[in-house]
Amino acid sequence: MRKKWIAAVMACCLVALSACSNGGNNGEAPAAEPKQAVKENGEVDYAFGKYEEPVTIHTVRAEYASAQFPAGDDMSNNVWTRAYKERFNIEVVTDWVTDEYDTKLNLAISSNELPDVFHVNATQLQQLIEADMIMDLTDVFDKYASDRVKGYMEADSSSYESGKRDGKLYGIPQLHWGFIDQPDFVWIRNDWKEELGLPDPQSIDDVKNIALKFMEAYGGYGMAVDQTLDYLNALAIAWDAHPDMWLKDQDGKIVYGSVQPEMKDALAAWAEWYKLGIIDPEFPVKDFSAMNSNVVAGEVGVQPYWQWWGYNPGVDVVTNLGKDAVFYPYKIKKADGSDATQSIFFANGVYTVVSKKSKHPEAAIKLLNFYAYILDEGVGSETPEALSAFIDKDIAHVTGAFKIINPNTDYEQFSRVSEALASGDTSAFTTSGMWQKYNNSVEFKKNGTPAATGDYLQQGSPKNAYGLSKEIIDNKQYIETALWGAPPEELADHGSTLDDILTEGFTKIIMGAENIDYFDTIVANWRSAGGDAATQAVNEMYGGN
Amino acid sequence: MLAKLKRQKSYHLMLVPGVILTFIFSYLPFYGLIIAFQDYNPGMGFQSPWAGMENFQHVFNQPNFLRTIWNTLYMSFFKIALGIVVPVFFALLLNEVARSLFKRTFQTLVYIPNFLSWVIMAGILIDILGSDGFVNTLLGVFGIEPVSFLGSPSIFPWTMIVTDVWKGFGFGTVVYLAALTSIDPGLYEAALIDGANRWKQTIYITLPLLAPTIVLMSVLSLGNVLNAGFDQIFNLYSPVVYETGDIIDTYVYRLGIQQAQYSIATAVGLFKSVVSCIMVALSYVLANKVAGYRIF
Repeated sequence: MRKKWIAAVMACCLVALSACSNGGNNGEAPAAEPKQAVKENGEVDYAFGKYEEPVTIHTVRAEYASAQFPAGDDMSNNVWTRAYKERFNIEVVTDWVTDEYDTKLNLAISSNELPDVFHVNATQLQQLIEADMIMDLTDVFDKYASDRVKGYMEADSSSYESGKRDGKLYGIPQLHWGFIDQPDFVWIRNDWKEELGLPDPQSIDDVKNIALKFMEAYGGYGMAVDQTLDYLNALAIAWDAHPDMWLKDQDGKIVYGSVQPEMKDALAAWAEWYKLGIIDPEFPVKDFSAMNSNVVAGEVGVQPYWQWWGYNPGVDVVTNLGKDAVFYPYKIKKADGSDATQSIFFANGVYTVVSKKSKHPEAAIKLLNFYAYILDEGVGSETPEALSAFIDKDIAHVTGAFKIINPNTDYEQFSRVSEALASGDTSAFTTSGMWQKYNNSVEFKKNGTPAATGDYLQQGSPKNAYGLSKEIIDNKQYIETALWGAPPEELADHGSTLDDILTEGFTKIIMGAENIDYFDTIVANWRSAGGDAATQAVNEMYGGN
Repeated sequence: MLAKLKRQKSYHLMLVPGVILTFIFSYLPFYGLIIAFQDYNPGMGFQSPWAGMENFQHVFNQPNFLRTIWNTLYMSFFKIALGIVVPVFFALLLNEVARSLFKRTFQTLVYIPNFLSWVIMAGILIDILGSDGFVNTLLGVFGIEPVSFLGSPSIFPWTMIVTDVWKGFGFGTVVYLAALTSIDPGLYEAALIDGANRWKQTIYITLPLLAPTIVLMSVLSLGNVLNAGFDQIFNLYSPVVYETGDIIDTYVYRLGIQQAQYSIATAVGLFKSVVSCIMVALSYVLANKVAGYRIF
């Protein structure tokens, strides 16, 4: 009997122990500057020099599902991690890979189990700085970053500044593909448009009329939008409204675009469209995929959308309806026929940060240098096969925190690709991205391959999204958001409630459940629910300059 | 007392692992409730600065929070009420069915939706209830205008209540059927001799003997009065029905979890737990007083 007792107690202890086992950190002092390779002129090669002693750094990653790895490779062991080892003698250990990156990282932060190098969003960056858990990278970045990477930071200095606090650099922004990918368009199904002999839309009213003609000829409703109103909102610039965006008014005060009087004009027009049956009568219950499935099924021929329509739903549209059913983008124009002013938002989503406990912050910078080198300078110095292994099939996106994007990538790429498509001369191509866009554009023209639809409509078609974007960027037909960085805490505190008030109210106006004067009630609700406080906080944080 | 304990030693021993697991996973996390009273920063953990009742104030001052409480209570009241009435009704009907094959087939069929996740059910419902879906096509045959079951604020709560009851009533039916089989057949024979017809038998024998089970199920479900079904509503609602369809859980999801506002989410969670605890205690007292039913 006694033995039984002991066994039971032991079993219970095991349960308890396994529940609270915990890996401890041993606090060693940071090593002196590690030995690394020198350049031909004898200087230490800070940016690209290989370590003489192997260096190990830990990181964590978000799953990147669309990457197609060769057999045996995965997120934590692939061509990139092997190159880190071979070329820099840096062993990158991945502690975990997850679909729920932000949640899992928040857990890691609160249990103080941070890896050495990792990605954070703007809110996490602020929290980590406050908690004193990440390293001031100002000096390390200065010393180790390559000229190319520093050039990126100059090209988008406001994103660079957003990674700083009190003049110290804590987060290195990953940056983005450039403003050229931000303008919105109205996409119109081409075979229908040609069959009916309709001219290109010259104003927002033309868009309405094309939708009506389509309904008359092909039935259904006129325009595909979804319940978030994001797609309908893309058209708001035709009435000079800039929903979802913080912008400066005439007095230099920062205000929220969704609650300005211009928005009322847009809503009044949409309410009329809804009555005419142009706007999908079921849009309030349709999410993104339900909206697009109607487009793919050929039920609708007009859709306000971003520049990447060709990737999604374009690929499915061509698969399902054939290459003639592609939609072409048109600039959003005002009622008087002039081009609308586009909204440009803060585009930097994530930052690379280094834990305070890390012994080799410079290793992270070296790997960022390497990423920029492969993407921007790879053509010419690497073999095409090696380069393809690094980049194609979305492998370029698996590097997690060791990723930095040239904010001029898409602009330069488009310029060269469109010139080459016109002249047939591809000698100016410097990146593998240019080759990809060029080859797919040619492929689509020749064979109508569905998978090539995205690149074709973005860059290669007679009416392509980037061609219009480039005009908009070159002619400065845009305004930038005044909230260039992380939102102030007062705004974050309200979560999505402020936007909920607007979405709910606007939907009612569009559906005719409330008349247009209800807009003033919505604005009053928004202001008293925290909109005023948020506006004040945004002005305090970003209104200074 | 001690002698009794000694006699039942092995039983108590078998309880120990369960008690320990409950302690670790349900009681130790109580400590985490302190973040409801802090301005929580994951980096500082439980050492985050204190905020007093600020988080509660913030939530209760949100203009739409009261409406979410009302929506929650409204929907869960009807879900609970119908969730008892409908299964009892079906169990009584099924019990009258003589053919065992039919009875079992039906019982299984109504139980099946209970096993499907709301994510799947929502996809199916959106199709069935759409303007050109099965239900509206059927209504159209009778000349009725299409009804926006998911897009109309006045209908949405009832769509939720009816579909929830429909999905869940199979389980209750099985429970009540089980309770019905335990009723002594001798009672019915006696009633028959006294001249009671089927209806009288149901009123005077079946229902009174079923009452303890009904009370037990009600007491158990009253603890859920502030859970109006997050899975279901989250997968079916949209901004246009926030007015009547937004419940505490979906609201907190948008306010707290999406934006990683852990303090606020915890504050609401604590509020819900306290209310639920009171409701359970209250319903227990009521059950004892009205039906003389006791669990302990």
